[in-house]
Amino acid sequence: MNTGLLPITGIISLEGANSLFLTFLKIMFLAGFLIYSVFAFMIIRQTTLMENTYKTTLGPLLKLFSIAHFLVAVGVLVLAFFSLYRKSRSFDNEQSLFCR
Amino acid sequence: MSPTIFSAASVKKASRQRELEAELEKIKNSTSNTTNTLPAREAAVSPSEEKNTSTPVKKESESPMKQDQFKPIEEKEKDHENEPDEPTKDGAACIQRQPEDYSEVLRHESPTTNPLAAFVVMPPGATFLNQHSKEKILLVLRQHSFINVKWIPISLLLIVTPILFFPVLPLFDFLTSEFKLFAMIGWYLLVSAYMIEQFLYWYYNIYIITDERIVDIDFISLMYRQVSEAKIDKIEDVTATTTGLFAGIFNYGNVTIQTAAEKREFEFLNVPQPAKVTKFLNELLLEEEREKLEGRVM
Repeated sequence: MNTGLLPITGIISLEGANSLFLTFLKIMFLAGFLIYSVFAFMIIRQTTLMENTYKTTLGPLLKLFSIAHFLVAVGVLVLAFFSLYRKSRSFDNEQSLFCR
Repeated sequence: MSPTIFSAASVKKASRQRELEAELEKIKNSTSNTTNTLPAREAAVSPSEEKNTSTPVKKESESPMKQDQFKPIEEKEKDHENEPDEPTKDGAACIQRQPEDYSEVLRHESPTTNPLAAFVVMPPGATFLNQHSKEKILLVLRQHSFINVKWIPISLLLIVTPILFFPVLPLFDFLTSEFKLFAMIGWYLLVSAYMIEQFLYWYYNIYIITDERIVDIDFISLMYRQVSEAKIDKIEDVTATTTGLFAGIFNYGNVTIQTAAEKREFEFLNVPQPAKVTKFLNELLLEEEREKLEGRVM
């Protein structure tokens, strides 16, 4: 795997820096989406709790919406993981070909 | 003459005997009736007060009976004459007045079916935590809908920001299309999080007024919920405050309730029609006092 370091000098090459930055960005995106999924799950919990505290006619609809919102958040997380991982792999392959 | 006199005396004796027997029958019947009505009377009393009230009720029903059995008939008749007319205090306990009977505010309002209303009168199908079986929700209050004006324009601005600025500003040109796409999705997720949080905060911060108590449900954050309550008879002072231009135009304000309960002050923030809420609380207080005077205690 390309580490982004030049073999002799240990200085980061431009391509390597780009690769490192994109990897960092990918991790940040995935962490952000993961935190958002946790937040979406918390909304489900809170909606259920508040629905138990005060039952209204809109309550079931809100609960349904919060579940749908959670599913969207998890869907985005999964999509981001596979999409960015594949992109990162293809980028690494390009880099390794370039280094040869 | 003497046989005639004898027979008259025996007739008197016999009639006296019959009277006594009839009295005994009456006493037996009344004893069985009181024991039958006991469960119904106990059911009318709330579960929390059950322990306190059940013993005196039995004493009331049993002890006068025992005393009654040893009284002469003439005295009993006098006692019956002195008894008050029906319905008695116990009979009155079963009669509960409807809120429309004593509240002028509710008389002029119809039940609200809109679930997003801020001034909800007797919401159909709504219940809350720890609600008693006979307790009725009379009024549910939220912050006035105008309060949402603060966050709705901000949300709309945040929604249109990427559409307006992403094509113009070359900030993310170095990113690949996938990263750009996920940056956009991430942005909209953040905006939706802000909107959901604001909406839930508004929707679940509610103040409930029932025929027995006031309840303040605070949805402070996603991790924190606070429920405070006080009985209507613990209310000491109610103050309505309307300050600001928009509060005057849209008729909303704060209602501060001083109580003798554990939580000394309840503040209904930015509720619609604060004067009407104050009037309604006063009506409830009056009714509570009337209930106490008439012995219609729940």
